[in-house]
Amino acid sequence: MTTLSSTNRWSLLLALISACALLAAACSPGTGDDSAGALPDEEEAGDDAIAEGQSQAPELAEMVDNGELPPLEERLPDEPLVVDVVDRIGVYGGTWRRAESEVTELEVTERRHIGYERLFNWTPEWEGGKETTPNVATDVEVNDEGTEFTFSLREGMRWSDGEPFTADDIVFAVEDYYFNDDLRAEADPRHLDSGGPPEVEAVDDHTVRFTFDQPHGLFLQGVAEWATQKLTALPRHYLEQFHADYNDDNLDELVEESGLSSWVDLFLDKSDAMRNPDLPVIYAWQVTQPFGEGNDVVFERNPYYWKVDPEGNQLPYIDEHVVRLVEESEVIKLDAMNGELDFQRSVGDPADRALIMENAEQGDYRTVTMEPDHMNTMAIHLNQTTPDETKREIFQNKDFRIGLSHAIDRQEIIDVVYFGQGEPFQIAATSELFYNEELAKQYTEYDVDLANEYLDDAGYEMDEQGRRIGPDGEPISITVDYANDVNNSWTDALELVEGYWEEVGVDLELNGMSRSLHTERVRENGEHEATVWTGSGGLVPFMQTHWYFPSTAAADFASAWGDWYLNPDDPNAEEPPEGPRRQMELYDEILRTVDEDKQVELMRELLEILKDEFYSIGISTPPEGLGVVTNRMHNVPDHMYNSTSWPTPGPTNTIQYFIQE
Amino acid sequence: MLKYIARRLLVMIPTLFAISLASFFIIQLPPGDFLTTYAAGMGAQDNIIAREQLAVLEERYGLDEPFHVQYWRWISNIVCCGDFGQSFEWNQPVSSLIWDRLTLTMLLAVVSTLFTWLVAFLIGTYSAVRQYSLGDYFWTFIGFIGLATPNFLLALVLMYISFRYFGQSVGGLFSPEYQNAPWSLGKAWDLFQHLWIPVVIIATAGAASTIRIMRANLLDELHRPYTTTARAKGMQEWRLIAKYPLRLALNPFISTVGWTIPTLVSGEIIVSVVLDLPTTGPLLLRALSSQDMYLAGSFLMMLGVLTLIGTLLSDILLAWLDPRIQYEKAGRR
Amino acid sequence: MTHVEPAPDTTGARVDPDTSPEGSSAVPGGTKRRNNLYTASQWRLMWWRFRKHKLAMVSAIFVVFVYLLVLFAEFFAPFHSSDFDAEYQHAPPQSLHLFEETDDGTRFNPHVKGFDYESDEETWRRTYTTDESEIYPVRPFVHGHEYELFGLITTDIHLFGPTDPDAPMYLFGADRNGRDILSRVIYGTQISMSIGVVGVVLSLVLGIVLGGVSGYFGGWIDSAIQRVIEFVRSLPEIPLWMALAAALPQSWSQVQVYFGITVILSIVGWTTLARVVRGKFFSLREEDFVTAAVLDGVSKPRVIFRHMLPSFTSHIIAAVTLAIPAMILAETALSFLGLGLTEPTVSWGVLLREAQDIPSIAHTPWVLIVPAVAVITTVLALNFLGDGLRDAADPYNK
Repeated sequence: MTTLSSTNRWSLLLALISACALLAAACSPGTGDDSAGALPDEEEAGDDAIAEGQSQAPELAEMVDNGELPPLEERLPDEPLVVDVVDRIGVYGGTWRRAESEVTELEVTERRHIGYERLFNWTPEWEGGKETTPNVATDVEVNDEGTEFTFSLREGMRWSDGEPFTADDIVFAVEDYYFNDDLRAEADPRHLDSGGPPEVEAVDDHTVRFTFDQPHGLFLQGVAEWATQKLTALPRHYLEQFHADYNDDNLDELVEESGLSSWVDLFLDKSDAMRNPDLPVIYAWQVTQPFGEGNDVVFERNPYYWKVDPEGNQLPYIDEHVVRLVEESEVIKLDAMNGELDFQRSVGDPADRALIMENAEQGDYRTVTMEPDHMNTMAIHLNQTTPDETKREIFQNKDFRIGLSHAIDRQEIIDVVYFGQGEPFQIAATSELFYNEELAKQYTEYDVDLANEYLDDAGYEMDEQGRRIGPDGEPISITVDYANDVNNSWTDALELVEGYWEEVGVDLELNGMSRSLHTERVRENGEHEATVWTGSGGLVPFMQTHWYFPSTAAADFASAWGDWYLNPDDPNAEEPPEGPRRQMELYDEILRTVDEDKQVELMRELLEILKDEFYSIGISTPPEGLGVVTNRMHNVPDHMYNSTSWPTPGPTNTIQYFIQE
Repeated sequence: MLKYIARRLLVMIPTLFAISLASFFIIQLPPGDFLTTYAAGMGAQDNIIAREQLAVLEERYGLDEPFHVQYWRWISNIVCCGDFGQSFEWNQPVSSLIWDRLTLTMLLAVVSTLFTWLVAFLIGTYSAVRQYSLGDYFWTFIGFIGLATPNFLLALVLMYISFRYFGQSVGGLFSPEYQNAPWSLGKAWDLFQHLWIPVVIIATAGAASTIRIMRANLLDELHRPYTTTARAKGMQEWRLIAKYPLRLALNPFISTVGWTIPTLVSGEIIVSVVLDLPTTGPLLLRALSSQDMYLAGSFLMMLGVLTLIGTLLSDILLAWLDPRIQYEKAGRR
Repeated sequence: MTHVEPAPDTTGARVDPDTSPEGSSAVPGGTKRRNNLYTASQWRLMWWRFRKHKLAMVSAIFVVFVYLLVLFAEFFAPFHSSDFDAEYQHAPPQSLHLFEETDDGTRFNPHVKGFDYESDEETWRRTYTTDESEIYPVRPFVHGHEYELFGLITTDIHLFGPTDPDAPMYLFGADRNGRDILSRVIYGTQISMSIGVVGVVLSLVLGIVLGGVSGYFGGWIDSAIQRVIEFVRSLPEIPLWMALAAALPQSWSQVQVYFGITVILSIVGWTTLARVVRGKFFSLREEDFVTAAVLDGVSKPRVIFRHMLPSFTSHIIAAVTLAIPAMILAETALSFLGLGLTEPTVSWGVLLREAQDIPSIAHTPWVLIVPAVAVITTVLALNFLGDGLRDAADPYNK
């Protein structure tokens, strides 16, 4: 075993070499990496590549030479998508190692890390949270009403088995997956529906047209969102054999053989890029050791990948992507600190920050900033449609909510719980386009007298023991049901809030629970009096709306209003008062508007109503997170958003990351 | 004796039935079901699943059916075709998930048990024979420290130490290079190098109580009249101890061996979670917390079966070790 | 040894006139003993022997001390367990200085010194240095936060503390919110030490009764009880805990939930004891003194509880004393898995869980060490105590 000091010297040397390389690349654009010129692949990827026009990974070149694979020109589309590199042109090879401690996180490797391939992708910068860029589609034409979207697909693009990718594949995905009655369970057609399913038509092999009954103002953003992953992920030529509408011959036998219980299970299993190594994909890597076999999931390079770097080299640079499922998040921290995770998008929480940063040199890695797309560390939602009538009356009293908001010393919470990071903030968009100072800062001032004044105005007087008495003559006590395994800081912050509210005569009972119990009680049944959650949708108010108005049952401040918006006939639904109803109308209007400026204007109006309604009590803006990148990994941006809408790190083009010792 | 074993095997059938029913009941006990935890997992990433979609999923997984229907589907498939059902979370047949891990768990359990017993036997005998000697105090103390330290604490500290001072890759039972390699001598050695930490941690927890019981029993036996008689007759001390008291003192050991399995699995869950071992523990924990019911239920069922077999074995051993126990006469008035 | 065994009065310390003379004659080699030895009760004999066991005596004193902490936690702890201070997050342990150097020379003034800290802009980590100029006197019986003792007496006197209640005094360091670890550990005793006892008592009663019945009668009664034991034992504890923890009513408070789990734990736990008792009964059944009692026409329950049970009291005591600390450890394990109590309840398990991460080990070890030492020493003490009791209770002990 090498001693620590020699390891350190090596890492220093490596760091120096990479620093030289960086410098060289920066000073002499186009000449590549002369400092490491001795490496053979390096030359191939560098100067020689330009001379020959296009280049590919050495193993692929070898396969072409052996006749196992058609030449590169035949594999690439007519116009491969040219992807900008973050820092410099890379070299081929290497394994990107990652670890996840949650099965749900591991499962989304497809969406986040290896296969963010939509018709249109979010831009890497994601400024304003609404810019998209051509990807599988090269262009789109929208009619004036916003009901007809005609996408031009990339000509000559192929699945990983060499079959062409055509408009028919997209028609298949929409008609036979998203809107198939049997598969609907798994599919999530939320962005593909506007007054009903669209009519999809393959105009020719590389033109597909969506026609909606109603205008669909957010469709172009919708195709870049989380839920539309499968739109470009279902190869018709392969999957038809597993679909009941297409295979009358031997589908039953196939189901029997698989040991699964129905064709639906079989179809879902076969169309899962994490589980089926035979599934043709358009992703940069294809699974070779599927999910569930052993502790690792392994992906390898797709020879038919259809993007190139600015010098025409076929991407991705990295050969292999390996994700390990670990049992505990502490293991991830230690692995990261050992320099064993090449790029881990999020490691630890703010409490781990110092340790991870201080260990960077020894572990031969660097850290990157992950900016949360959330706008709030912890928003307190008093459920205005809670089953208890008395509580409901109290919570619907705006003065009561304002009073409680003023009673909170947000700066102290920030100092104690959030390392002094962040500023007092209500529920409000953080993206510049929608930022509204008044909305973000109203009632955030810590002022006990003012708080008491509001609470008195609300009509709940204090008794001689300093408790405020509700309309039923009982002291007001609020139970907050919160998921204590989602965010470690909530218990600490709530304990402080408990103290502040006690000062003004309102009792807060903390009821921590597991997140699944929380989902059951709060999200599914809306039984809670109060709950807390982070404020998502700070950067994308268009897409994540439920904190701004009751747009789904996940609007914890008024679940039943959210139900009403989705479906007025829902047994849980209740008709909301005028303010929220107006917001709902505005959002419906946004959905039917194609003009972007008009959309923004309507959204601002919607947020203005939020200011008057003041549904929930926010605390502060969240502190930034940390990602860890080993020093052998390059082209990873130093700063990126941590988001689900923008499935981090997908939009940063993981295909242009590369590994060089 | 054969008749006894046969009778015991027959009695096992209703017990097994009760266990299967209880296993299935236990996993259904917490509110919510797999879909709730699934929705919660997605919700933690701010992905909200629509209620209608959940309803469709519920139907697909058969979660909307009453308890007895679900139970019957599960148990009838096990009995008729050895089919343990489908894991919701992994979308794989349960049997393909269980076996690998069960093997490693059994390996860990057997090695830990043997190690615990070896340590307990040696120290227990020593401290009983040399009661109140310096050695008695010393070893007892060490044993107790092991008992008194929570397993997870020891595991985490050991893991940090191995990271900090040995620069070792932490967690798992294999080094990365052997992770997916076929079995070889190198892989076995690699396994051994990783195995000793969990074995020591599990053993430290169990050793003290076993030492105590061993010492207590042996002391009881050592002061019995027959021992005194034998000693009076001038029998050599060590032969005297080995002849009867030691054998009798082993009774409680043997009579609980059957339950070492569930106990170890419980203890192993915590250690394996911290040390990231690919054993049943973490998978079971995961299955339970996500209410992946066929996986969790089958797991509990398997553990139940193993325990029953263990208990039977221990009863047979007990009868063999202590001739005074006569099962055939067990029904006497 | 054909006569009846000494039978301690299992209900209390009172001398039983029927058995004590016989009992005393059972003590071998009593040539040098004083006369009163022959009239002393079993429990008195135990006490005499127990006293000789130094380690057990020390442990007994320690255990008594810990239970005093349980009763008077508010008095012993200088601060309340939830008193926080953003200024002193993760402040390291201070030393208590007894003497103060002043211009007039050294004078006796117990005190702690203040802190200065710097916060790293990059890593957000704070580094504390001692501020020699700030001196906070520490005194016994100071006035601090107000509390109610047993819900009766309202007072604000604490055993010791800084004269200024807001002064930073962190003898064992502070946690992430600037809360005093010492105070939190003291408050933690209340739940950790008290809650296991019920479970142990319950499992003891169940174990002895059912194990005894099973072992003595044998036959179908034995079979039936054995099947029940097998059934209960074949379900691993942790899954059982998980399910039950989730199934307990939401309206229950944290402490009620844990209490519920403890009761359920003991329903699982009795089987170990029952099994051991049964094994013992099987062998004792064949012993001469039992045969003699049976031939004398003594009733079965009397044979079980008067003659057989006392002959292995020692074993039961050993098992029980190991069961109490096992409950304490179970609490920590449950908390670790996130199944037991959670914050804001303060128990040792909760404190250990809070410290269960790499930064705590690497940067702020006191957060982990202090509760860990509390758990380990208490568990050790309980074990040594049990050990001493066991040896003392052994009727054949020399």
